[in-house]
Amino acid sequence: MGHRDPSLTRKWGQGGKRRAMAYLPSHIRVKGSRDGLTFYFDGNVAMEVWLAELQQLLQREHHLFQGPAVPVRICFGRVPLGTEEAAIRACFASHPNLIVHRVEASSTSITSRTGEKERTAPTLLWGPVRSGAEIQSDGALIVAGDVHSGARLVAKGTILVFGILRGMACAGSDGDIEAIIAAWELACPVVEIASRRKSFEKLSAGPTLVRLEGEELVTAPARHLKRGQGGREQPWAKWWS
Amino acid sequence: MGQVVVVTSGKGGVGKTTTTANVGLALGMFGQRVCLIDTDIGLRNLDLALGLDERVVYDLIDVCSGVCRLQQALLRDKHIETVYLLPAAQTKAKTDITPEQMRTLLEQLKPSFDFILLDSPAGIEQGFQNAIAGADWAIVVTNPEPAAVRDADRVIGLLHGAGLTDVRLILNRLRTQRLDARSTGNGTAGLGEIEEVVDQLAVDLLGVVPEDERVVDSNLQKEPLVLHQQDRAGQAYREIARRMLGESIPLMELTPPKPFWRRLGLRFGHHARVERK
Repeated sequence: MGHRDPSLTRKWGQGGKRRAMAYLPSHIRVKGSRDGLTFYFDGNVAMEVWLAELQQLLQREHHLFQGPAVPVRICFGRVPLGTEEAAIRACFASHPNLIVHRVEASSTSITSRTGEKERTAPTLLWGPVRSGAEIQSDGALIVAGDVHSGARLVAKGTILVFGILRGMACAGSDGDIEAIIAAWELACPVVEIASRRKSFEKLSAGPTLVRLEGEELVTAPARHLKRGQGGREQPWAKWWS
Repeated sequence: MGQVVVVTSGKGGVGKTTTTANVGLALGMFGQRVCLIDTDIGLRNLDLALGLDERVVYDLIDVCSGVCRLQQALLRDKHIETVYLLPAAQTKAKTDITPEQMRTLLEQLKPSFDFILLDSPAGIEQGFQNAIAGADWAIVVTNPEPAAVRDADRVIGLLHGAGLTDVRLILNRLRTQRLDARSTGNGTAGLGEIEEVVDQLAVDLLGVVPEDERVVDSNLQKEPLVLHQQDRAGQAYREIARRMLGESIPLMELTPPKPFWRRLGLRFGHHARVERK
């Protein structure tokens, strides 16, 4: 940590807020996965701003970015200009182990901390949701407990159930096709995402997720979650952050 | 001051009235002053379960509308003299009484009783709302079948919504033969079915009552079976009453006792030999 700015070192008892603001770049997010590192850029701010942040980040955290070769993916938020892409690649040139594979205009890269506040916070619900209850959420809905048969969950975003889902779940009630439904155990007869329904005859054992692919709802074991929904882009990222 | 306990279930026919009568009498057997109130107005049954049907003169509606005094309507039980019954009206409707009237009535009864058990009607309409109005805590009766469990779940949700957070479960009419078939092999009953229901409903278990043919007989004879020492269902009700009094009692052995020769065989390791195959 020798290269860290001493003025930014945190002392116990000091508020963590200042550190977080100064320490973490506000327009770049880094995510690590099995497939390498992904840098998310907020393409809506001036080039100098994010370029300075990127340089700072690579310099300050140089100990993190040393070691074996890591493939790097850049999600820019919009189509990057030629000069911008060149500038990014030039920055990464100082770290030979970071191999920039792709610079892409990903629609899911809106992960900057500035834009985050505008989204609706997820609703967290404790305890079992009993038969006959209907829960509404303007964003994502997280239930820590079982959802019993006859209960109904309606969320504009994703629904996560840390328990057994026996009741009805409607995710993406506003038509959000990126919403998913995941549960420790899916034991419900029918789920709905963005007004498309799927009924189950066989109940799945173990953590399961349901997502929309085209016009159809597909189920998958929830271990695919950590790979960004089985190869698809990470719609999660927007509420992970 | 007595505690007011509502016995409810959502689904009909799971044994609310039988439970109320038997638990009430069992509490009486342990020296408690108990008042049983039938709130199933229009379809009264509790008086039959206690064998008091021929003595009913005034009822709950009469008390609430001021036709008679409370003391005139209360019927003393034939067997245990600390147990009283306030019967429901058979001719009126459930809308003839309001939750406020129930609360006032319960406030009058509370000082002179230790337990006031309210037998709730099936369903979740006005009658149910009347029954839960003044209750301190609730007993939910259910059977180990999906329809009863789901209705119980709904009722527990409604009770929570009404501010009754202390809800305890009685699993009624559990068929022990099936338990035996699913037994774990080491002699103890397979409690899978019980655990499943309790897990699903996520409330405390107050007791498990095994299916007992003698319940039907006792209804025909108009004499609650808790009064007979040897009946297994009666034993379960007595255990429930003791738990309500704050004792900590493990669940009774639910599988029927094995025949003598089988027990002898088990004693000599026959069971273990079968296991090893």
